[in-house]
Order: sequence, then C-alpha cells, then structure tokens
Amino acid sequence: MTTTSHFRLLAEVRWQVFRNSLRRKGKLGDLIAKIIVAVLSGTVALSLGVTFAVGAYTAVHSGKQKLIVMLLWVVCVCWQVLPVALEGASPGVNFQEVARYPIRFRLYYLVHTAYGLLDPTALLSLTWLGCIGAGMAWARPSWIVYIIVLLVAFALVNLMVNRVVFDALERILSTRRGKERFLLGVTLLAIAGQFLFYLVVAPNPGRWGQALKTWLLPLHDLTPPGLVFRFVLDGRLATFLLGVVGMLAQAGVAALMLRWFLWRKYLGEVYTEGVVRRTAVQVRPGWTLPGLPKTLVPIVEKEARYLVGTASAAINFFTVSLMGLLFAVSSKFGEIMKVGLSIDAASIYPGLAGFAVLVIGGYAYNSFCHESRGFDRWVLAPVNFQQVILGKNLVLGAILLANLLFITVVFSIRPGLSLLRVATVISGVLYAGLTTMGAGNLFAVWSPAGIDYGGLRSRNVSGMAVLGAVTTQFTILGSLGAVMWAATRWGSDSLPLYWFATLALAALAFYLFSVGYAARYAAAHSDVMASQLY
Amino acid sequence: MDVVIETRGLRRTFGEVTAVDGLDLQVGRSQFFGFLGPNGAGKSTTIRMLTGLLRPTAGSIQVLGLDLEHHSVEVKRRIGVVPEGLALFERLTGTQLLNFVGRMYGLERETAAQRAAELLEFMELGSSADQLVADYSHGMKKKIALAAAIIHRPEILFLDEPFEGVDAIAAGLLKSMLQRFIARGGTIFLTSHVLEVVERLCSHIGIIQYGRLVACASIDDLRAGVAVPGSPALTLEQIFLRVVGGARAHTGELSWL
Repeated sequence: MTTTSHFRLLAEVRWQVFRNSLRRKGKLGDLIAKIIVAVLSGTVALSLGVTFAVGAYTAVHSGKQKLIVMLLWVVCVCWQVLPVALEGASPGVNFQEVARYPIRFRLYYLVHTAYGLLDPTALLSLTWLGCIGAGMAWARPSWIVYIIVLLVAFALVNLMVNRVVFDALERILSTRRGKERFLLGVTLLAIAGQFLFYLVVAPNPGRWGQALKTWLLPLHDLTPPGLVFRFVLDGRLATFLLGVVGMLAQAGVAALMLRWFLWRKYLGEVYTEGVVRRTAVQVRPGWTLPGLPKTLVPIVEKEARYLVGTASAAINFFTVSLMGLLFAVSSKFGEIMKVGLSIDAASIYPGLAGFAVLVIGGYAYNSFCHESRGFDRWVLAPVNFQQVILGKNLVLGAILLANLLFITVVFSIRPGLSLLRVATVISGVLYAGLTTMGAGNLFAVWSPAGIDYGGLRSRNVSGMAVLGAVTTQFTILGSLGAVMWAATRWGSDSLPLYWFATLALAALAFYLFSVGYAARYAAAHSDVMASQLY
Repeated sequence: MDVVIETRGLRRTFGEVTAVDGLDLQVGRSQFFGFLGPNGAGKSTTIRMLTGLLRPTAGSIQVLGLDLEHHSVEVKRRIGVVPEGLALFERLTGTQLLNFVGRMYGLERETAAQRAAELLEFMELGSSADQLVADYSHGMKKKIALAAAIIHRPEILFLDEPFEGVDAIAAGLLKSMLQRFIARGGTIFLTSHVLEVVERLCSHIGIIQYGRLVACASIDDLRAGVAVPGSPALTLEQIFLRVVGGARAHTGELSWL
C-alpha cells in the first residue's frame, strides 16, 4: 500500500467509526439528542470564531496587541486540554492495534500524527485560528503572508504537543500509581497556578510578584502565543523569523519526544506490564457504615472507590473545595502580598455551591457509565436495583454535602456572609441537588452509555443524557432565577429561603419517585442497558 | 432425581431471530452438566436466561424449586455465575472485588475478607491481589470471576466457558476444585467448546442446536444411544458430531489458499 492509500484508509476508518457510533439500535432519541447538541455546540463554536476574528481585527487595528495573546492562549488551551477532557465524546482508533499491521514505522508515525488533525477539537481550534488569522489580515493586509506562515507554525507546534500530551497521558493513566501521581500533580498545579495568577496579573503585584514577573515574562515570550505577539507588536522581519524558527524548534522537540513514545508502542510495549512482587495476601474487611442496610454498604464502598479511583472524577469533586479554599485564602493572600484584591464572600459562596451541584450532575446523568460488563454483576447479585441506585446517589450526595459543608465553613469565617444567606443557599442546593439526582436516575437508565475513563480510548457519551442534563440545569437555573427576581422586586430577603425550601420538598418527592421508577425500569430492561454499556 | 434446574417451553427471540426455541430441560442435584452446541446454537442465551441476565420471551424457569421470575433475589442468593463477559468491576482490585461480592451476597465483613484471602491464594492471584482487575490477563480475570462466583458457597454454579484462556496448570487446579464442589452436593451447569474437558468432567450432557435440545442424557446413555454394536466406544466429539450432523463439516476449499 502507498502512503496516500494508508491515509485514505485511516480517514475512512475514522468516518466509519463516527458513523457507527450514531447507529445505535433503538436509540433514535439519543441520535436526535446528539444532533441537537452538535448543532448547539457548532453554533456556539462558530459564534466564538466570529468573535475571535473581530477581536483579532481590533487588536491589530487599534493597537491593543495584548488581546492577540489572550485569543491565541484560548486556542492553545482548547487544543491541548479539550481533547483530553472530552475524549469520551470522540470515538477513537487504538494505535497499539494499528501497530500489528504490516506498516513501516515512518508511516505509522505520520498516520498517528495526522490522526490528531481529524480530532473534532483540533478542527475547532484550527477554525478559530483561521478566524484569528483572517481578523489580523483584515486589519493589516500587507502582513497576510507573515500571518499565514506564523499561524501554520503555531498550528504545527500545537498538533505535535497535543499528540505528545495524549500519548503521555495514556501512559500515565494506564496504572493506578500513575493516576494517583497525575491527580496529585494536577492538584498542585491548580494551587500553584492560582497563586501565580494573583501574583502576576494583579494591578499592584508587590515585591514578590514583581520579581516573579521579571522571571516569567521573558519565558512567556518564548511560547507560541508570545512569539506571534512579538511580531504583531513590531512587525519586523527579524521578529517574524525568530517566531517561525522558535515555533518550528518547539515542534521539532515535540516530534522527537513523540518518536520516542511511538517507537516503544510500535515495538509492542504494553503500558501496564510491570514486575509483580510476591507478598502474602492480606485482605482487610470492607467498610462499615452504621445505619445503612448490610447489602447497601458494599455498593456505597464500590461506588466511592470507583469515583475516587477515576482521576478525572476525583479532580472534579475535589476542585469545588479547593476553589473554596483558594477564594477564601486568596484575598488574605492578596492583602499580605499587597496586590489590592479582595473577595466578596456573599457573592462567591452561592456560585461555588452551584458549582458543587454541577459537578455531581456530570455523574448522576450516566451513573452506570464506568461499569461496562460489570453492570451484569448488579443483575446477578441478590439485590434489587433500588439499592444500587440509592448506593450511587448516596455517594454523590455525600460528595455534594462534603463540598457544601467545607465551603460553608470556609466562607463563614469571613465577613459578609449572613446566616440567612447560608440557609438560603443550602435550601437552594438541596432543591438543585435532589432534582439533578432525580433527573439523573431517569436518564441513567433510559440512555446509559459506557465510558472508560481509565484509558484515553472510549466509546460514546450518552447524547440523550447530555441533553437531559442541559434541560434540567436550565430548568433549575430558571426557577432559581425567577425566585431571586421576585425577591428583588418585592424587596424581601427571606422570600428565597421559603421558596427554595418548598422547592426542595417537591424535589425530594420527585427524587423518591425517580428511584422507584428507575429501579423498576432497570430491572425490566437490564439486558438492553447492558448492551448499551458495552 | 432431585431436579434443581428445570425449564419448560423456554423461548427467546431477538427480533425475527429465535435463539432458544421451546427448551425443556431438567438437571438433577449433584450433576456435572455439560451444555454443548455449535456456535450460535443458543447456549449462552440459555445460560443468561437461567441466571436472570436475560428475560425469556416465553416459558418458565425453576431453579432450586423456585420460580426465577417471582423469586429472583432468593435464587440469585443461592447460585454462583461466571457469565460470558465475566461481569467484573474492573476498576476495583482483586481483593476489593471479592470483598465486595462476598458482602453483596450477605457475608459478614470478616468472613468475606477471610474467604477472599483464601480464594486469592488458591487461585494463585496472591501477588496480584492489590492490582486493578483491569490490569489482569484474560486468564487471571477468569480465575477472579470464578472466585467471585463461589465466595458465598452457592448450591449451583453456572459456568460459561470457564477454561477459555486459562493455562493448563490453573485449569487442573480449577477442575479439581469443581469436582470437589460436586462431591459435596453442589451442581454445575457448564458450557464449553473444549469437548475433551467436558468429557472428562461432566456426568450429564445436553446438546442444543438451532435453539432446540437435540440430546440430553448421561454420557454413558448417550454413548449407548449412538453406538454401533461391536465397534469401539465413541468419544464425546464423535457423539457430538453425529448428533448435530457431521455433514456440517463440509469439504469446500478456498480457491486462494
């Protein structure tokens, strides 16, 4: 086979995988939901593209060049982070399997790299980049050649780095220890990033911030957005050449790293292989949770272990409390560092509480997604689905309450947060949380979809569940907003508390109904659900 | 015969395809029952219906004298299953999985932990006890699935291809364990494509073809039924081919091979 026919074959496979992912028997609703979500996302993405073009035009035309840096960083983050975060939405090809075919390494490398361009987020990033380029060229037509060359180099760096990041993550997340280290790394990075942000971006950075700025800014100039920015700032040929050479050099380094990873994969390396040590078997008894039925405890334990053991889920759950801590501490930090920042507890607290509900929502709407063939274990075991669903909800509820408790305590020690505000937010969270879990139970049995968060290769997310989640969240937000509007109009501070408490009671009734209904539905359709999960 | 598994007119259709068509089957206590059939004959569909994983389109199932549809929880408490897909929660470690399954079947915490440790040692999974099941090889997954099926000391074991992918040493270990299970009054319902294994282990055989039971008897009775007087005793493979129609083994050729 020639190189061209290999590429054509790969594009065909990618298209077939995508098309087959839409052909799920008896799931017309899911397909319609996917189309609606795709149209909505496409509209948002294109609108952002137009905004980027206008932003780039304004940046070059009106001398606000710093705006270009921001736009290019958005593209970078989208290209590098979104494919990892949204991997579940993108059906993929297993390149360890591709290596089994009679294909030379050079072609294998090229095919692997080119595959990165077919990723939906890469296509989105390229579209945005094109919009930025168009905006810049529109403002300064004489730069058109320079802009094209610079942005092509920019895209090349991003493509190569994306492939390295993806491969490295797959390697790291393939073992439990790797996942734990990754989780720790991300957490530390989030904390460090927050503090660095305050130090560097603050209007009055203070002595430490100034010192850090002196170190960081020259480094930023070497990043792809920094290199493009330098050219936009002075428009000199030397700066242009420096930018192109700098980005090509970075792409070259990434290409070499990718070659190192891929060569090992090509030779048949299995990531999870390792030396197994022989030790005596020690089995510690499972959890005890007083007050819960005997068969419910292992379900809760299993759910908690699954969620905490899944790096992306654990990070999401932990983020709320971490953000709470940072927001509460950062203003103190700001005061200490004399950067002139202060945080209004009364405004941040409800927002974070809402975020805590959103975080559990992602799992409530597809709560069987991690189980794949393990789902059959629920059917084989002498328990009814009501207990299984309750067990899953209990873990999510505990995470929600733990986050809520933590941020409540943290913000309570700061001035500006009244008891009425706390009670109102808690009743609002109860309403939103119970509604989310109730609706989640229904969508989890109506339209489950298997997701393997362990590796970076997975099947579909549930389009129906995504649509259900969006609809429920808009309904919750709409009702909360209406109550707040009424309270403002009638000038009553206590009105939201009574309304939210009433809504929470109604949500409790809905939740109890959903558990019973979902359990009956799952028992009657367990074979259909199982086929959707694997 | 003390019947522990009984089906009457069991039928399952998938759209226009009938996978199991009016199956009447009886399995007695302490029988090592081998359920055979060509690919697509309806073996896995039958075992999935017998264990509650799949609802029959028609017919009834009695397990341990209880109607499966109305007493599913009680039946499930008394049986152990190694299904086709193994049904493992792969993001738990071997230890956590056995602990979890044991307690789901109502064992006390300490009992579940003790049995889990013994099973891990017995299945030679001790060194991998704290590894995620996802990281196990196929054979190791089979062993942990079997351990999960017996941890609560069931009365009947349903095993769908239990030896597939298991090495010879481990297979020998498992076979002796299963024979001990039978000797202590347990019943095993097993499907396998490895006829030598079935012949060596099973006391009774059922053969299904096109969703219908075409033979069901003890191995000796089956041999007597298809034997030609004066000729040497037939192997199970020969019996199987005669029952399902040896003519299926056509002699066509691939022109390009």
